[in-house]
Amino acid sequence: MRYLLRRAAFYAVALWAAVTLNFALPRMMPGNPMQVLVAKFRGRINPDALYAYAKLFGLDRHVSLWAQYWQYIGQLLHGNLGVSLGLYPETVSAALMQALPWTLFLLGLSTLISFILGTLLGMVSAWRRGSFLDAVAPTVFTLTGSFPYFWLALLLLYFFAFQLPWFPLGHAYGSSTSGWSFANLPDILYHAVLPALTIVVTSIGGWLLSMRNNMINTLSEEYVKVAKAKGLSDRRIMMTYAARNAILPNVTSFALSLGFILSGAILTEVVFSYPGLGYTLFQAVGNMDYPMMQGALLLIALAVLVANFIADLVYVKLDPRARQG
Amino acid sequence: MTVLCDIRNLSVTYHGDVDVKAVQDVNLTIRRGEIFGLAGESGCGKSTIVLALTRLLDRDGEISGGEILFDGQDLARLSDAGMRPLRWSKISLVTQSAMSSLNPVLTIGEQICDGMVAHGVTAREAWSRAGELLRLVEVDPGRLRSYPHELSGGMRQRVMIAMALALRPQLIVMDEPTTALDVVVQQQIIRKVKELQREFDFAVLFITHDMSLLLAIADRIAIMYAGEIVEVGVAAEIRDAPRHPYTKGLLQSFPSVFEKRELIGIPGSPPSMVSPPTGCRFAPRCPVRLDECASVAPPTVDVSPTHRAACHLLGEGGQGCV
Repeated sequence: MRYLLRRAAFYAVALWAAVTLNFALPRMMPGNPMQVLVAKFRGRINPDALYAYAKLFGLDRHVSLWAQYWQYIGQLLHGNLGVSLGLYPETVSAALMQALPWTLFLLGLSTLISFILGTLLGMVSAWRRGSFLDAVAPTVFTLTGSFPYFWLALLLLYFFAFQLPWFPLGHAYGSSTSGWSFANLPDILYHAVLPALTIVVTSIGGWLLSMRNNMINTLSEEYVKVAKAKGLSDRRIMMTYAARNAILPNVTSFALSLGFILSGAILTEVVFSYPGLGYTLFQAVGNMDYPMMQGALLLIALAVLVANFIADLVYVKLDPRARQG
Repeated sequence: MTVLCDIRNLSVTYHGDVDVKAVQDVNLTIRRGEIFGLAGESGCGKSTIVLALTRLLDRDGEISGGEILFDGQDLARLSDAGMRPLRWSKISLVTQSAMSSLNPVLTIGEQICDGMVAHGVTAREAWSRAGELLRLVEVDPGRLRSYPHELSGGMRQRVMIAMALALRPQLIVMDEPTTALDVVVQQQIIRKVKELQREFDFAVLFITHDMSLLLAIADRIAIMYAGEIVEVGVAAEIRDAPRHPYTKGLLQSFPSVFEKRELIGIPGSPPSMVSPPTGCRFAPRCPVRLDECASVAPPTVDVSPTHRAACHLLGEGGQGCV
């Protein structure tokens, strides 16, 4: 419990640092969003309106940086991330909330599949060391893991959506359906196959190799020998004695990778025009949409922190030695 | 006392870039209810004998010859499936370091119980028996719910011994069970083992490189050098009348509490097991070697009905190295 409290305090500080950085970064970047706005209206905007926008976006030059900072924090506490410059007059939080579920769905699902498959394959490869599976699986998935994932995405898109029209060319759902509902699920899954496949195929190798290596180490532990001497079933020795200990480092990296879900696959989302956070962030950068970038980065930072916290919780659950820490 | 385990001409080979015969034509008998000690330097093959006997050799280790007759069955020829019912119920194991022989993520109770459950004991019955077992080794039964890292080294080793007793096996193999413990705890553990052994009448194969410890606990002792048994005898015979120069060297290389004497080590180091010397394997280090030692392997000679040694000095009525 004390361990968790200490962790929680650490996360509070980290969150504050993330928020502050997030406030400072756009203000340190070259270029001025107001100029972008002027360009957007092709100069036909009067100075009063411009000033009103500056106030709206929290970029009022007459307000000190310090005051802006507190204003920013105050707005954050109210869940107000400002108004998007690129998608004006939509608010940033509305735009992000629309994109978030798609990214969570696509990346969450594919990361989970990749983790489970990779860990299982790694476990069995190490258990049957020297077998056919052990010869093939690590080699193949290390190879696919070294592909750049956007390149693989383009390749899959070209062959399985363009040459062979098996899968859609992009987007998260077809024109007849929109949004989330149970009835739309087949269509949504259908659209997710290629982007998810890209992510799974390029990331599975890492899980497999680390699990295999950890497992080979734990298999040579004395307690595995004792477990065999006890006459336990192979299944119990493999799962409860070897894999249960080997999986600990993998669980940590899994939780950490969950944090990068929100930012992780910008290129995949761009290639497949998938309406997720990565795609939104990509567009925001193109539009110099500072409030949107800030919002997206904050969400990503938050996700990393939450994922870390989950990693701590799970680790404490899995490893009794961490409970005293 | 009747024979429980009869190891005949056992050889074990580790396959690799070069095959290594770690154990060569070893003959040993362990009788019911005795503590049989096996001593030798690190790397002499004593742990390999343990792994062969418990059928825990790695994939690259193979029993390349001989038999291990245990209770009428040849363990060397049993399949894994055939071996499983014997594991823990007939032969159990206490390993060297209690630090690493308990699974860190399972409680003590779970680990004592799963061995019993695997042999058909119900979970409820196993749990209550686990409590009794802890009481036997003087550990608080409340510790069943503790994790290994919450126990001291001595307690962990007691837990290991309790675990090994779970199914009342006929033989408990103890592979350097006290090496990682301090001397005081070592004594407590040894006393406990002897006490339990008297109570439950199991046999113990006790492996160590610590001769003083072995003389204190064992009924009979075998001395191993470079994969071969060089001398076997009742503990008193080994202590008072060692016949093999290597045994003598071992006995002189630890201090005695009772007499003041000079410590003499054995110069040199054990031979490479990849290409062991022809003839007597101890010859290169032997202070009293003869000409034939380098070329002819010494025969094993019965010094008394309970005592045999393999040394040329014992041949043709010789007295050996006294």
